[in-house]
Amino acid sequence: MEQRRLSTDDDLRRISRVWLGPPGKTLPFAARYQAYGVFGVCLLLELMFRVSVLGQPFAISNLIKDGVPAWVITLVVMHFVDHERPIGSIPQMVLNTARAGRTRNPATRTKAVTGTLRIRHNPWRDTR
Amino acid sequence: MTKERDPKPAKAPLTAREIYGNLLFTGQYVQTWYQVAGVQWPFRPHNERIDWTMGAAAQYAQLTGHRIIERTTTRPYPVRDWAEAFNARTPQPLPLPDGHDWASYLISQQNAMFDVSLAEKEVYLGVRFANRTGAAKLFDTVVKRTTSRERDRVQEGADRITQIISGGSLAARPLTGTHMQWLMHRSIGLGLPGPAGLVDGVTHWLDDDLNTFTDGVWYEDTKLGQTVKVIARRAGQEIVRHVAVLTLGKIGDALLPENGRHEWLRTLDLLPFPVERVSIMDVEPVAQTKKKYGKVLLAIRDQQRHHHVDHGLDVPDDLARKAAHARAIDAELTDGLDAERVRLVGWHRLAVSGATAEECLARVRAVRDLYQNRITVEHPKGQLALLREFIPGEPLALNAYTRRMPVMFYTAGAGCAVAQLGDQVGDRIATTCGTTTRPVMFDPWLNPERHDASGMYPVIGVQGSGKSTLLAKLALQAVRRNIRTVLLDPSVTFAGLARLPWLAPYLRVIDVRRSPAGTLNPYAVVRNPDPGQYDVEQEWRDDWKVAQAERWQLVQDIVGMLIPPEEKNRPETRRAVSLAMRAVPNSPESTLGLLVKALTELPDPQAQIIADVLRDVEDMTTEGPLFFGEPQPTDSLTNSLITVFTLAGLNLPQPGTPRENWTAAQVVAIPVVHLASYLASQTIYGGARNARKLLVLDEMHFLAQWASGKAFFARLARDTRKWNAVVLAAGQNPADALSLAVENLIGGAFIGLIDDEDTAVEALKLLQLPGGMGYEKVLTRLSPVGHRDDYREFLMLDAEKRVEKIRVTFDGDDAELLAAVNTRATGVLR
Repeated sequence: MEQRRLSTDDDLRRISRVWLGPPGKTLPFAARYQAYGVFGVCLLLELMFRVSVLGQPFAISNLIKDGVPAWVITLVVMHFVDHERPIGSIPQMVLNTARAGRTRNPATRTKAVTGTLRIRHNPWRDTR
Repeated sequence: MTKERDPKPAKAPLTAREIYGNLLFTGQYVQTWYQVAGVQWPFRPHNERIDWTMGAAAQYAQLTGHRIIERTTTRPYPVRDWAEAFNARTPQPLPLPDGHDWASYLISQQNAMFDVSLAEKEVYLGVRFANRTGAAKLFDTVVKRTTSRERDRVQEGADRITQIISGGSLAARPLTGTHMQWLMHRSIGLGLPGPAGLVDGVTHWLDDDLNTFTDGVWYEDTKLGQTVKVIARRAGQEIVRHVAVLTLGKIGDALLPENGRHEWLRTLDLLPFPVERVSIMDVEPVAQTKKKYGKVLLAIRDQQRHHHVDHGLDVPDDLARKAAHARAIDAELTDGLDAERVRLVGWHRLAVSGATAEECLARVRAVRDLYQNRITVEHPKGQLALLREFIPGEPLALNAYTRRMPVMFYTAGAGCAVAQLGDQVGDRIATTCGTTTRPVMFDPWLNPERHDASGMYPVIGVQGSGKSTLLAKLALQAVRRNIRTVLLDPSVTFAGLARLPWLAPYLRVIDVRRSPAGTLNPYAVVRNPDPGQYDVEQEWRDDWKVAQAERWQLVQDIVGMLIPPEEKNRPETRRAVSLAMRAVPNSPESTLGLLVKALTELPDPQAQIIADVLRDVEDMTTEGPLFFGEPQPTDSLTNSLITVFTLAGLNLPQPGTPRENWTAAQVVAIPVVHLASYLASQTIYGGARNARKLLVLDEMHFLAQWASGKAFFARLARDTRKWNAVVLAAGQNPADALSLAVENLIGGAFIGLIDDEDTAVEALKLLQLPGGMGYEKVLTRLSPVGHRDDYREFLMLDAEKRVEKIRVTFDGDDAELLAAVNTRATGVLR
């Protein structure tokens, strides 16, 4: 009896898309495109916070100052991101963990009920 | 206690809002739920497994655009229901003394069943097939229920789904109200004991009614905790289970069909504890898949170019390999069958539970060990959110660990595989041990009583494979049910039953070799049918003719057994014996002495030689008078509840030894076994026709070598139906029973250890399995050498032609039985 080998397609999702730098100018590190995106978003949020909340004007020096924490945050976030846990799943993971029992009272109980509390924000929203 | 911990527990409403029949409405969408038929998997021919896999894949492939949820749960074996059914089939159990009585026996059987994992797998399938309209959602918000118009609208879509999956491999049935209740209870109370008191006839649950499922169930989790506590209050008692939800990561390649290892989902059945599974999968349209993988290919090309052209660096090796894989998939998407083209994008979660967190985590390790080197098993944080995914209607909680696979890869996992065996009403004879551990119930009289099928069950195996202990166990079970039992005991095994003091009053051991002369008269052991036991005269006439032919053949064979082979094979001998037999009336009153006399009266010198040989047997062997004497009345022989015809001192030749090398004692031993088998078989025809009877024959291989022996078994097998009898015939050679199997004259079979692969091929034919699939090795490794002496392993073929490996254990009274009849343990017999 001839056996047929079957495989999943997961292999194709495990492609590290890295940006090595502008053509001909290879950077000393290879970061994923996503890391640049995360860094950019963090930097933008920090700048927005500085400008809109703290009321400081936009300046190049601030950009450099904010770059360091943005870089650190990016490192932390990208530590959790891999092919199995894409970046889109990170907020869900954080939310699921955050909604778990409070550390101050580890015996928090959650009862699955319906009835009067039927209209309620549902954190388990479908991802589709 | 609960209030002390948290006076205001947080509430997490179910996403489900209403259940109507098998339709489940949430705020946004509608699901329809089914139960998928379990497919018998063990010892199934490869081509049938492939057909099932392709068929199921084709059915799933038709659900493109839908999200499907395959939910596997377990149902504890209904031990109490079994005990009631079994008790009902035993109206007058044997009144044994206290401790061995029927009630104690039933209790011990039930306790033994509670001691092993007896969960039966059930596979449910949910299909998310429609979204709710804005108007329906608005109405639901105000009135808190669906409208009949909305239900009618979605019903059309549900019917289409039903049409796709109700036939073929999946053979899914829409869930009834009771099944829906079971699924909801099992899913909300994950890991808890099964709910009691499901309500029949309820098919509609509105919003508030859903509290039925959630009331009394509590979840308790900790931040970054590895398990969730699921707590229930039932009958004033708090039941706690610790549940861990795992998710499947990288899955290694699979083979279709798998050979030598279990399919990737069916592997879970090997675990000695129940595992709940939910696979949430989107059936992706081919065009979408094609587009997606087209982009992947572009990304690969871009990376190759970026490395090589932009930076002059070496291209990572895996990119070229993945590009080739992507092209292969692209070709498959273009040209393949739907079962190969359609992709499932999904998330596969497993839930294991334990009474303590430690037990639960030990089970997590067991799952990881099971999948070692095959599938990565992840144990993510946020356990409560993941646990809720098991509840019908709940959305996906985490889109990490996504698995993408052809639909055929998924169905090749055989998640719907089951290993069923036996009936649900018989006595517990064993547990399955091939994949799952489930009790095997077996009532051999179901075949003649309900299915108009044969009650003949061959038991085959080499010496020491456990045939005799299995037969003794089945015989004792019959005796407990007050069923008249006769055992033929050539190897002096069953005579050991006399060592059980509580059985002794019902037991009679007859030493055939020391019985009166004429006990084994070949003319008398084939009785003419009694016309008083026939309603139709023609039926009696037919059976009378069969008896005449059988007697003729038997006498001819017995003479052939008693004379040397070189004489037997001469044509003159056959002619002389035939002529002499015609001179003797073919009736139970005739004797071999008359035959000898007829031979001496023939003018043929060869007839004189035969007559002299027969006279020598009569005069010079201990058994001679048994064959040659006047017929003895046999009615009183089997009037005990259990009768053992023992052949103590009989010197049987080793199977396979050439007849030329047999001693004189071994030569006469063969006709003794033959005729004693006939004598024992007379029990079938005594008593009321409908009364259950059991006949146990050992050393069947000595009979099957002769035409009369073959005819004997064929007649017995046919008569089991008419006389409500069960015949357990043990032997060492599977080929002996093959002709019976071909003629559909066996109701099942038990095959024990076989010591060579050629014989194993014959045994597989008896089990109606093809050879060359590796099953031969299973037979040669049953009850491995050095195994504990308190169990024996067999392959069992049941009435529905299902085959599975079973382990016959000996506990309670059976341990005493084993000690009494175990030839290996005592070493004194044979």
